[in-house]
Amino acid sequence: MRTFRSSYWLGLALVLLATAMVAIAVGPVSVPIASVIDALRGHGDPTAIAIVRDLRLPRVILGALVGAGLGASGAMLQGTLRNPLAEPYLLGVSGGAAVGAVIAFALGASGEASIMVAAFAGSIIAVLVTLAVGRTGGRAGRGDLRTLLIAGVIVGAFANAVIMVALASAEPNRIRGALWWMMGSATDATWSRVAWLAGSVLFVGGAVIYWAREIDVLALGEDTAVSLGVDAERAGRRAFILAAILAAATVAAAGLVGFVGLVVPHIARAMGLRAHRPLILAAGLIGGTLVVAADLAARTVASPIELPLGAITALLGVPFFLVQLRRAS
Amino acid sequence: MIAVENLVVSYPGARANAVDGVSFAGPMSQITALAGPNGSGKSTIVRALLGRVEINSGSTAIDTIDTRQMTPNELALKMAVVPQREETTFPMRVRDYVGLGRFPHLGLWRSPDASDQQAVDEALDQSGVAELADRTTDALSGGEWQRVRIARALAQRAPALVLDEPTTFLDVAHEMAIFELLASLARSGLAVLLVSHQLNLLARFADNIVLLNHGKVAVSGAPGDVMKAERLEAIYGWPVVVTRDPAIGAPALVPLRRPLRT
Repeated sequence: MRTFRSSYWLGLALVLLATAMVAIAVGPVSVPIASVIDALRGHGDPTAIAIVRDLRLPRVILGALVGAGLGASGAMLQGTLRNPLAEPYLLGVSGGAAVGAVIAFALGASGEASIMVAAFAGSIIAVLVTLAVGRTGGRAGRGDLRTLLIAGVIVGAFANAVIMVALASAEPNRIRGALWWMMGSATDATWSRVAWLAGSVLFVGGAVIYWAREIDVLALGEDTAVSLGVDAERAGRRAFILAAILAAATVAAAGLVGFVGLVVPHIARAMGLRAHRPLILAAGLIGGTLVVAADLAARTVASPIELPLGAITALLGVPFFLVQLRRAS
Repeated sequence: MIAVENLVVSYPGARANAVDGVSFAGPMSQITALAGPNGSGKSTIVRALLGRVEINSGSTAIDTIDTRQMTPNELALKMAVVPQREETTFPMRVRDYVGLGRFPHLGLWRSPDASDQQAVDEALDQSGVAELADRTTDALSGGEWQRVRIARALAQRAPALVLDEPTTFLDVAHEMAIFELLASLARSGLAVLLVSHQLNLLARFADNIVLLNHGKVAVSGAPGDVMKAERLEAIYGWPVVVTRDPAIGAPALVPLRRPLRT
């Protein structure tokens, strides 16, 4: 097992920063890095300032926040549910959000806020249903937290059916918007959206970090956790809900960006992290970097066509993950 | 000291009580064994001590304080448990794993200090796994893993130690090593409560055996009083003889083959 050195923190932060700088510089109109720094401070060419400050910076920050939220959420869930395949989208978060968004699209909603609210509400409802199903499935409410995973998959399957019905019965011109949303995108990055997501990620993320040490103990199983003084049911439910809110906030802001929540915690662990407080922080930094890089690829690879962000995260993440997996074994 | 008084526990929907009026004491510096057939209520008593099942009546107490009066953290400072099953989905260094035993002392935010390090080092030493400290938990044999789990519980520095079948799946040498370890822990002052099926080893190592059947105490006392052939035959529903261990003279149980039916 690799030993995580404190210098890695600097490395992770620098990689994120460098990726962000490149993502701000590169696009249909390229801005040299030196001008990017000037433009960020409000100096130089007004066009460059407009491109950097109004178009690319909010988009890069949105991408970083989406990745950070999904990475942290995945790290929490894998520990809490003791399953390396757990990820926020498996818990009904994505299915519920998609149901909310697709129904909003099908009803003809087009405003930014209405889609976001519908997606967020959909995912929270789905997570509450997952919790309720998981509880009845467990032995008299004191069962295994892992029952939640099965419940989440079932709720997700139901959500898929609802989505298909909604898409089949919607007007064709409204379907395209819904499909795009489901593929994930940071295109509509407005400062208000960034502010909303930043608030959620910082607030919920703070709570996550505050309780993170409980997850170290929960990861040993309920009986051991209780013997170490943790109320396993309450701590498990709390971790589950916080992880779900974190993921739901990212989904509301940028649609479905797959694979990040699953793969990023494994990358953080491959760096030698096990304790959940640093693990979740590192997963946030790595997730942010991955999504910023993926969004850069999404808008430049086939320019002027923009590719779906969710597809790129998987296309980038899978090979990276496979290399890590080989190196680990 | 662990004290269980007239404990009654029933699971929802079950016809009979899982534990039906059990009383016993697990004093300091002794190994108290809970034995009995599968489903006789042994693990339920452990779960009741941990507050994992609802107690219908009676009580469980550590050092005369009812376990239900304690917060989970207070309980963890009084009693360490090695449960039957435990997973480490993500393998970690043995030292870090044993360090999790300090959680009740550290809480959410305090960083481990010298005294925490010392507790971990001593726990590793006591369990004889100090040389494994830098290995990862997935690189341990079954016997090593059980000793490491006991070290994790010892790092908790609680006066009572409860173990639920710690030698399942272990070969003779590793099983003996665990029992010798528990004996030395009891000598050092811990109140050890041991759930085990290994009657012959309990007869040699335990100070007291509480033999359960259908949720009740069938018999309890010193091994010599508990290990009676007629009684064990009735409880386990299998013909047995009790002889003397040729080496040390402790009672030894020999289950018989059934005569062939003709």
